[in-house]
Amino acid sequence: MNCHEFQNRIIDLLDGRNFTDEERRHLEQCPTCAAEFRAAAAALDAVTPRSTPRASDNLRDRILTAAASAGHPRRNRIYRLFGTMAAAAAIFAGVLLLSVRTPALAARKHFGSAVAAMNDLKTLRIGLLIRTAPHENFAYTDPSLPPIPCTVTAEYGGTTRWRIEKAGRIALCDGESVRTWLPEFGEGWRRKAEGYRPEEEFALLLDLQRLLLAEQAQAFRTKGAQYEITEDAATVRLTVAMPARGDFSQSDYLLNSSIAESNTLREYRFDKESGRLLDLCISAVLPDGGRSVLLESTGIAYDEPIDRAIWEVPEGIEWIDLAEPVSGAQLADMTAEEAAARILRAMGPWDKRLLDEALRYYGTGVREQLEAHYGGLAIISAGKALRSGEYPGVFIPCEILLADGRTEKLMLALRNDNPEKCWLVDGGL
Amino acid sequence: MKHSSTEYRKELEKLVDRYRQPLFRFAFFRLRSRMDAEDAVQDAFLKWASGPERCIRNPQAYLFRMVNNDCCDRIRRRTTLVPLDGHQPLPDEPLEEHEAREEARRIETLLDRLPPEQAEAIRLHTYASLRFTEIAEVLRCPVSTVKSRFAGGIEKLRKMSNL
Repeated sequence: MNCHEFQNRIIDLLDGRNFTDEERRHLEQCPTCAAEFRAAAAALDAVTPRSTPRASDNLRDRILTAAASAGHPRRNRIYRLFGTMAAAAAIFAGVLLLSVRTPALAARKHFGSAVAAMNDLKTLRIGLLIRTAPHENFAYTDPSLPPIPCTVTAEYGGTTRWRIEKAGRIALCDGESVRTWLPEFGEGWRRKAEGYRPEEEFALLLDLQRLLLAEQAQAFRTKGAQYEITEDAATVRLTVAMPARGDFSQSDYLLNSSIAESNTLREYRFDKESGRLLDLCISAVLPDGGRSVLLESTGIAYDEPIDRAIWEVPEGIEWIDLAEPVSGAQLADMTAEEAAARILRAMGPWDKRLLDEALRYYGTGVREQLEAHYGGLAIISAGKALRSGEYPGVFIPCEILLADGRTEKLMLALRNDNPEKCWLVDGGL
Repeated sequence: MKHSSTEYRKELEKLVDRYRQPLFRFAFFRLRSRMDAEDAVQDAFLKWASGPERCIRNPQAYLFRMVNNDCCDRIRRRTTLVPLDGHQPLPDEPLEEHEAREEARRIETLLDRLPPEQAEAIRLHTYASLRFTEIAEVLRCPVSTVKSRFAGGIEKLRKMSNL
């Protein structure tokens, strides 16, 4: 073996292949090749870590649980219809009132130019990947879930129409009504578009002007917000670090359950020439300083033709009309704890009269499933009502004994922000 | 549901038991954050679990490819706003983990000076202990390409370190 042959094999030897007798002999006899080998091995050694950090003990269970769960095991708010954007009006008022006095000036400038650039927009389509559960409220995010595709489509003009869609949930506004439905369950909710405020935070995406105005306003209002602007020849990247909104003093149950209720890093990239938003990425900033991308755009298309079929409402959906008043009001004039106890007690014999009212947001098919699961239950314990984040209702921790002998812990979500002040189940089952 | 069968569950458990630690080590040295690394590993398994990929021939290559891509995405998105690799230990961070982060920072400083494809081949070898044939499966390229990238990277490291 000559030196050229040996040196051609050094990379293979670094890969862990055993030396042949011939190679070993050459290495022992040739100081030049020995030096070459040692130098290459030392270079590799310099980038080979010695330490072996171990994954957390619970990682295995986390992965298996997440893989086995189609929904979210901890916060089941599948029928939470009304989101947490009560602050939207305040945000808009804030835009008018705030003076320019903070380091957010540059952020405001860039958001402002992007808003102006989108004034004449005709259509918008945004492809997204979001860490959420398929059937959950559009606002719902969870850093532990895998990202799933979602599409936002809007058509502007005399009447603004929009559609938001992910695998298990679709929302559609045709200008007159807003419908949200769960195709798998064959049921959904209908309400008038007039006066509708996109209360689910996620719906802000259908109106980029509104989204950017909201960010602009928050850039001024929020203590602890940080900004960074970087530019290259063609684009401007604006990064906003925003602390979680909401009150978590009673419970952190909803912390990191939506973009608004998470500490987030929001990145927007604009085209310098047109001022249009090119992409966006929103990450949750986790307690250890790490990040998990909650939402990122996979494509934004402006003024492209839209397939008319997306505006069609499917047949065979059981629509629950939210404009109708709550009938009976059997769960008004009482505390949330009293209402929760009445509702759970009614589930034992399945008192249809009371449960039809309490489960107003649930369609026939799901109520039948709930009856099959919870019918015959007994209450083991029920705790005090907790408020968390921006949710306008309360959560009641409960433990129940099912008819088959198993026990189950619930976080019953109740809300009474209706004209009748009647407590209704909004999630947790 | 796709992932409800006992057979599939067992298959997933086997993969998680076998690969979560080497995947985590690889991701940790890339990202220098336990949370990010565990997220990247979890996402890789969930991608395998949720798609037709579960039928793939080589799960090891698939999982390392997913984690490698995920790490690249996460690094690309990082800005200077939140320092992820400060030199000070994080609150409640064990000393060993802090030392591992510091080691990763030192090594990444070197590898960042290489062309990305050369650094990638070396990382898969040193962080994940993969052989060239396995790296070729991860990167979906010929073994000769891996060797060439690896050799180029080692040569540059030698020059940088005057070895």
